[in-house]
Amino acid sequence: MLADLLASQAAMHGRFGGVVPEMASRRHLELVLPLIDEVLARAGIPLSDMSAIAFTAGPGLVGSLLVGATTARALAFAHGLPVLGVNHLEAHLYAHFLPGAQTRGFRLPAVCLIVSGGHTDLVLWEDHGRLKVMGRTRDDAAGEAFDKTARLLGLGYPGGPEVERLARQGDPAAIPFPRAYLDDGDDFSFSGLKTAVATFLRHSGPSFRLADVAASFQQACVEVLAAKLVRAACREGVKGIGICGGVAANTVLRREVADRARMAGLAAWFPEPALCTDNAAVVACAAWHALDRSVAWYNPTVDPNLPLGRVGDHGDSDPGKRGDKHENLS
Amino acid sequence: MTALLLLAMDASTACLSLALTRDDGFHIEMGHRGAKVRAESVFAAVHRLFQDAGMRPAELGAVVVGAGPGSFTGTRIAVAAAKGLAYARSLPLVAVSTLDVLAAGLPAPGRRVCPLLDARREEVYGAVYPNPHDGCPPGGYVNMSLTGFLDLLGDGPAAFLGDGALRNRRQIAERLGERAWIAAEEWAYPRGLVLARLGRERLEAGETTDPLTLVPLYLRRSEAEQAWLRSPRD
Ligand SMILES: [Zn+2]
Repeated sequence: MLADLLASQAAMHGRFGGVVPEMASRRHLELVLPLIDEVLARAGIPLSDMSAIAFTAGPGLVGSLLVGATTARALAFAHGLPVLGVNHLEAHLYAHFLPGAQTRGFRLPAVCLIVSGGHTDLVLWEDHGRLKVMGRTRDDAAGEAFDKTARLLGLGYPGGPEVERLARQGDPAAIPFPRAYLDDGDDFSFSGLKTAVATFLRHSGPSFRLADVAASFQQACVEVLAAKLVRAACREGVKGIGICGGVAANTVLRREVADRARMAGLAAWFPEPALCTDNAAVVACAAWHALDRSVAWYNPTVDPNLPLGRVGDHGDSDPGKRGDKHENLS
Repeated sequence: MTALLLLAMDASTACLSLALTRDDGFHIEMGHRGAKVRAESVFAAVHRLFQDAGMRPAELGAVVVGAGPGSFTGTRIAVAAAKGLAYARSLPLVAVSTLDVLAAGLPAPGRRVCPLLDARREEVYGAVYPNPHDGCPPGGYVNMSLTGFLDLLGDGPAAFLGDGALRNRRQIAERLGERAWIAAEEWAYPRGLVLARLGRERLEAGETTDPLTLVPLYLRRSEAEQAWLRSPRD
């Protein structure tokens, strides 16, 4: 990796308790070119020397996706470069292939958990471009549960790091919040846990410590995530597991996954925390592997509801329609 | 010296308008109305334009974009496309208000010209051009209710055009009677050739903008109201 930059809008959206789509789109448009300009300057490579340009095709907020897609297509068109739409969730998985202290030796197949504010997906990752979603959340994403709990505890947004910080001073066994295992299936549910926290805070009077609530909530959440991940890997007979997405930066979740993997005799990989949250390096990495198998000329449109595996599925794509290569023009 | 090739794009209304022009008189123009304007359709159309012209992006000498007001998403797509192209090829970039393009597209109106774009919620984006061929409107660009706009306009004769004028034609006619002239639908959307002409004029006047910092003219309501209150009336 030569250069990787990120401009977060979390502070701007924080006072609204979540992302405001129109504000996000406006801000993306302001930020995207200066950031590209800086990343090219840091890498010391001109745009015209690129092999391809990749963007996130979805899932996500359509206004934001369009800013990225249009910018990518403009840059690609200007220099006759191939342009490549990448699935956001697939990109998250590629954090495992980026350099890191705990990703060395990562191999496929593996069972990975994508866990963020928008997603909680358990994926059997057989090979590049071959993914199977085994389970997903039926209601709130795990990161959403963290955000909502943070709000109940009067903490800031995004809630994940805030809850984790407060939980450090708390007892994770203080309050027995429910663990939703959903009859041993691979799906998740976190709305019950969030409701349990709200109910507890409403009824238990002033005798509890907020740090204990945060720690107990966090423990209930990470136990379910880690247990289901390990169990699915054992059942599928893969040798390794991994976690990615914003919540994968949570150190308690990492410890829980590492402990359970060790007991089950599985190898566990943990991408660098900075590469777990949304970033462009993983998009480039996913695109690089797609280029490598030269099957990846996705129709570069955006889809706010793009399902995982869709972009990786090339079986039906006609080679003539795959590319949007403009080389005949430049 | 080779002739300057200029690409003009506007996606701020229901019509995606494109033109490729050269100062030796060559031009090729497209206007797509109806299909929802999305990133892929902008670049599919730009691609086709170059193909039809038998030209390459490397030959491009300048980019002109309709910077709004209008649809937030549509305007943003055209502006992002123009910024990206101008940045990638280090080209001069000119931003022109969509309202200027509409007004300048009406030949010899002989009266004030008021382009109106439908801003939803009973509101319009608009401006008043005493003479649309003299450039930007002295009163600035506004976002307000149609009745507010007509109140401020007064009783003199005026020409109206744009989807906001078509949509509100009855109200405008009721209010101004014979003094209102409403342009037919083919004048209601910004044309690529007009945008290219204004862009070329401004390019020659040195009125270029930085692709790294250009933002659409969104006309947020509060700013728009302030602009109107500050502006002279006729
Ligand atoms: Zn994400």
